[in-house]
Amino acid sequence: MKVKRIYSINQKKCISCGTCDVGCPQGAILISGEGKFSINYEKCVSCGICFRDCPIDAIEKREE
Amino acid sequence: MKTTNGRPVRVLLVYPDYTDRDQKYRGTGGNYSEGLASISAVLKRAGHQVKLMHLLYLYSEEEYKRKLRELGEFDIVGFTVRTTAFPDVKEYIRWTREACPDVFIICGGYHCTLVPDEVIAVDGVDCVCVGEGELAQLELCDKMRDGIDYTDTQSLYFKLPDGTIKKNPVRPLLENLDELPIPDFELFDYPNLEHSKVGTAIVVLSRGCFYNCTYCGNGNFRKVYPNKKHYARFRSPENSILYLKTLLEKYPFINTINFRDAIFNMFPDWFDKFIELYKKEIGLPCTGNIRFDILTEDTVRRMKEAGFYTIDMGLESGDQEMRFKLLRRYQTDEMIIRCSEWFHKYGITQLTYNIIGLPHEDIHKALKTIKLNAKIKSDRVIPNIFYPYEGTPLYDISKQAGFIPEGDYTKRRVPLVQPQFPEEQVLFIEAYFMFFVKRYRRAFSLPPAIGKPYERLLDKCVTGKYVPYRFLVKLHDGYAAMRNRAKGFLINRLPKLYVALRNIKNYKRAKTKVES
Repeated sequence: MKVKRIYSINQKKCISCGTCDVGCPQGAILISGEGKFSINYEKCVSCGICFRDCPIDAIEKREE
Repeated sequence: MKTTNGRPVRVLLVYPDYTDRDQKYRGTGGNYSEGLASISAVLKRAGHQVKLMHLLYLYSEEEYKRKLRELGEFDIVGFTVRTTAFPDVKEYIRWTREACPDVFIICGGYHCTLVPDEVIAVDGVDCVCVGEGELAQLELCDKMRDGIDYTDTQSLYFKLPDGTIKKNPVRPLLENLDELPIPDFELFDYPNLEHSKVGTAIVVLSRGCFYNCTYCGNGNFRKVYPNKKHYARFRSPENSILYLKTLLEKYPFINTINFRDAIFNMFPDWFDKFIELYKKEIGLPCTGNIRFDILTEDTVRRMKEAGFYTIDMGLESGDQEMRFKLLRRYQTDEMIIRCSEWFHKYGITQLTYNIIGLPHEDIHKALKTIKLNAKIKSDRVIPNIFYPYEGTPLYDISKQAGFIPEGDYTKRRVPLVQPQFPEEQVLFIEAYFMFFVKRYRRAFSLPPAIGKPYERLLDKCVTGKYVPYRFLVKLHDGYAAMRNRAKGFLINRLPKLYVALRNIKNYKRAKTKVES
């Protein structure tokens, strides 16, 4: 069975530094008018770059 | 290949520490450099010898060569290169090579990390350091002492005898800053540094920054390291206190600490622990650069208790869209206003950094910056004219839009040439920034019936069709030159009077805040 990795941003930890947005090759990071970050799952390909680069480990991974 | 045959290596660090290139201007003691002090401490710990050539003004060839001779003989001469000082450094390198043909010349500093190929191409340069320099410089010196081939030293680019360039990969950055020794403050004439004269110590407890502001080189500096995730680091709170105690033991006249870390509250948990220890163990009045989007009111309250009497914050642009889309600074106006209210509440004054002349900016957007400063009641403002540092995203944006003129733009007062925001308007906004912040503050504090018309009148004075921008800029230039001379005179000749006046000003500001 194929395992799917799903990444999400922990809003309590996120400090809006923008590292995930800069590194995302798919442009899958959404930024709200309040400066909050989230993932656009229509674009996300689960490459894990944001998870690897986030300096404060605010990206969480779960497998389904 | 150079070797000292077992003798410790003698290193001279050359530090061009001036921004005014007018040769008539003589610097006033200069500034501390954490990077140089740290490199010196690491090399001295390993037994090498280090001296500093602190250039406080633009040297002539004769002066430079005389000073070089007076300092003694060296195996390595290292230059720290700022982008704006690079043209001067090229001259210093040429003169060094003429005076000491056999010396090994290395360049480091942020400009080298951003454009190492440009620096290694300069005639006379043997080596360029990319990224942090302590461990690379140490390995180079150790190998030179021991007669080992050093051209494979990580983080260094070498110009080989056949003219080819050997580019070694950048070493992983040191993740635990506690492994570094306490910086070598004595490398400098510390009591005579400009800030020392007024009892202030410049202190840096961290490296790097994890934000991605597009005008800043940090995003690119980070990219060069294999372990870039750990680019932003602090000494532990305990080691930071040891740093401060060592400094204060050596220089007991220090009565104020100025933390020059990129973002002092970058790691909220570290910050909370540090200010508790600082309050107990040091307790001197202090200041630092604070980011508003990771603050809580409780932290501000405890900052006041620990000794923070003023803070700096980068506001950069008053136009939220520009902050979000152009600068990648995701702070809303509301957030900035709310946090600044906490600082007012606890009597901590605020200094803001602002950028004027950003690509695609115009005078109306710059006016928004003035107005946001008025809304948050900034006590002091520093309006900087935008400078496009090569390798940064905003440089690329400026270049693509055709705003970077042909030729040497480094010496222009306004580097970008933008039809929608001409030079005289940028200089006008820079010159009269605080003047208008004060008047808008007044307008916003008046009842709307009077305040609104007053605001409209001020708008006309800034953006009106018939404002004599050029004349007003000239007028201000004369005033600023006089004021700077007076300030320099006070700091150098009557430092106690300068400190007293500064304290009165700060006290008044803080008192006004608490009362209001």
